Amino acid sequence: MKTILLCVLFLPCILKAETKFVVYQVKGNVSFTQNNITTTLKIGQMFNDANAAIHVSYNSSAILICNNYSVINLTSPDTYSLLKLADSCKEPVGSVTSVYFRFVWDELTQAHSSIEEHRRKYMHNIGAVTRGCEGLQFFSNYDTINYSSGFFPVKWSSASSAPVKLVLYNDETAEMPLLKIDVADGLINLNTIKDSLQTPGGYYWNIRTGNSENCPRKYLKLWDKKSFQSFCDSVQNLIPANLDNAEKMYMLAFILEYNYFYAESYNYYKLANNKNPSNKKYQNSIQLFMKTYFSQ
Amino acid sequence: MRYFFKRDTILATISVFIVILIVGVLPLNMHALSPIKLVLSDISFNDLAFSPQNAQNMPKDDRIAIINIDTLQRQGIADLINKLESFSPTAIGLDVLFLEHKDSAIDNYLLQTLKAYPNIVTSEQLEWQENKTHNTDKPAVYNMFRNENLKAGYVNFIGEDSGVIRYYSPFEKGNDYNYTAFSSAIVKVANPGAYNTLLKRDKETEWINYKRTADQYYIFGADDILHNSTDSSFFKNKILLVGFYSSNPNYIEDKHFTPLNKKFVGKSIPDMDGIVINANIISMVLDKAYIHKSPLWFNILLAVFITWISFAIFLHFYLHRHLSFYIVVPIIQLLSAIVSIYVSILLLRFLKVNIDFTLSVLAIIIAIEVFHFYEALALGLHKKYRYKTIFTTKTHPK
Repeated sequence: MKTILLCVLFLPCILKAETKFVVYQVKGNVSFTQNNITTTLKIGQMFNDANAAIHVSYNSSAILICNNYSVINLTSPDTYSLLKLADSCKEPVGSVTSVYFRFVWDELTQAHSSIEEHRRKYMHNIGAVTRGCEGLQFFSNYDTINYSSGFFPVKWSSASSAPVKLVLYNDETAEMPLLKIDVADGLINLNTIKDSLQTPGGYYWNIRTGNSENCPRKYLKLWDKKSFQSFCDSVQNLIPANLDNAEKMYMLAFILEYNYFYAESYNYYKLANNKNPSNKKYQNSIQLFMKTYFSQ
Repeated sequence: MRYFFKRDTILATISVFIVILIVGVLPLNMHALSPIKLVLSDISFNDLAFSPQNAQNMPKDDRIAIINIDTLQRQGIADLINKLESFSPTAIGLDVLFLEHKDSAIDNYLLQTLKAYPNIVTSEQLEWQENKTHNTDKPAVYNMFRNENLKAGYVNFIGEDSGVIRYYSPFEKGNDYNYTAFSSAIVKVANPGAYNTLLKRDKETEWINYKRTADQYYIFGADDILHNSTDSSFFKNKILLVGFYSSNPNYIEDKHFTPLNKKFVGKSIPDMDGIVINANIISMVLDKAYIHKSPLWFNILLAVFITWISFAIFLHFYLHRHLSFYIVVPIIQLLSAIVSIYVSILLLRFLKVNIDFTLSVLAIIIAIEVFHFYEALALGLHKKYRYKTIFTTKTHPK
């Protein structure tokens, strides 16, 4: 009876200890042993006991994420002591993929918090209009866009009835635009700019109403197919090979969006969703993307 | 009544809360995996307590007037403020963010105008920057006219991104900063007594007691005021909120979802401009019509009481009407959940009291599993240690 009581009293304290790893993916037969009890390893499972171990069987694998967002890929059949695995978490991570693993870590480890308890995380709704660019309102944050190919509409609204042109410059202070495109309906597909310009590189663009530009210029980098593919390859090389294809697509989409490749990330979100249409995370991401960039 | 004070009833009740405590401290994001969360994202039954019909029947709040700037820019806004100040309002809240410098002459004209009147409150935006491991405590403040001689308040509401705005934070304090919400700063100028009441409540978040839609506020166009087409005497001793308002439901810049949305589930179009939400907050603070939230100890006590009564009833059926037990108990569980939600809505709607029944409902839901677990445990202990339990003699006679 005393043992039961002690367990009940101390269990919360034990469980509150800092989490070192979280399981991101499991394939095949992978188990986890702690205090001589062996259980099947599950996605989202967290552990911090250095004396525990993970057993990977043949044709099986597991991917763990450390609390510094580095990834440990267990592919060979073996027994892995968590004490040794913890050493892999000590190195700081600066790779392009760490931003995605941070997102996964947060998704899997954050205990549910109510809006009232963590209000500052939910204070992004602003109850005021902004008066900056006279007569012009952009619908999203387009300060920087990387673009290679695909559909992506840039949208704005103009209070003026004067003709509207999109103007493109070589640099932020240039006086003579490289390109002027008449635009109507408050939107332009980035493909139109790329087709008109042909040459890849960094440009600054703005919306000219009548003869005036009332907003700061925005940066657009056009990528040729080869450079973009090379960027994607560099990201894909860092993605664990044993991830399923849908998750690989999703991870690439996430990283592309983070790096301002909006049109391209949308394509990969769709590809991930097509490969696994029942995945709620993929469905929600597409809906959120459309709401953020396409809905207004 | 017979089983209320039996040791088994009390210990089984305690077991329920031990289970909840253990599950509660598990560092698992169960909420993220919940299909209910995915399906009913950002839905709260409490929204049903706020009735759009009632709001439309409320009398207009004649202490507040909303001035719609429409497409007015900085120079026009400065002209408008000069004009409005000539009408002797109590306070003017400028619900417009200026985040970057534009034409220096016009910016200076606007700044001098704002500084000329002590009853003006400008808007600013707070943003807590995230770093890799934690949120930094001190927020970044965006307001290009921020100045010691100018009153300012932040216009951030609390809610999920593009979600329903149910709460706001009246004050944001930290070790070396103290910011005031836009609405709080206006009330401080207009009605120090009401402001002190808000201050004394010392709440980090306040529910917004939505009582009025835009139709229940007086709204004027800036052009009409600048062209002297309105009765200027109306504005004397009023709180004037200067910002953007659009009656066009498709123009959603600064429009937000609120509990007054006519569609409870599957909301499609945001229903209220930020300036009208601020007007509702100001009305609430002036009227001292706050929503009172029950303290945690009360919620726990209520949950314990409900669980205790439930167990006494469960025991009665289990020991005396064993067959009925399996029919009655699920009905009690379902009814408890429905009644709790209904009572919660009624209390919020009519008494403006929010009692959180989550713990009570959770306890009722898991009660039957814990009941059987407790029975097995009690029998085991009885067998080994001669632990006295009601189950031994009544349900499992030897």
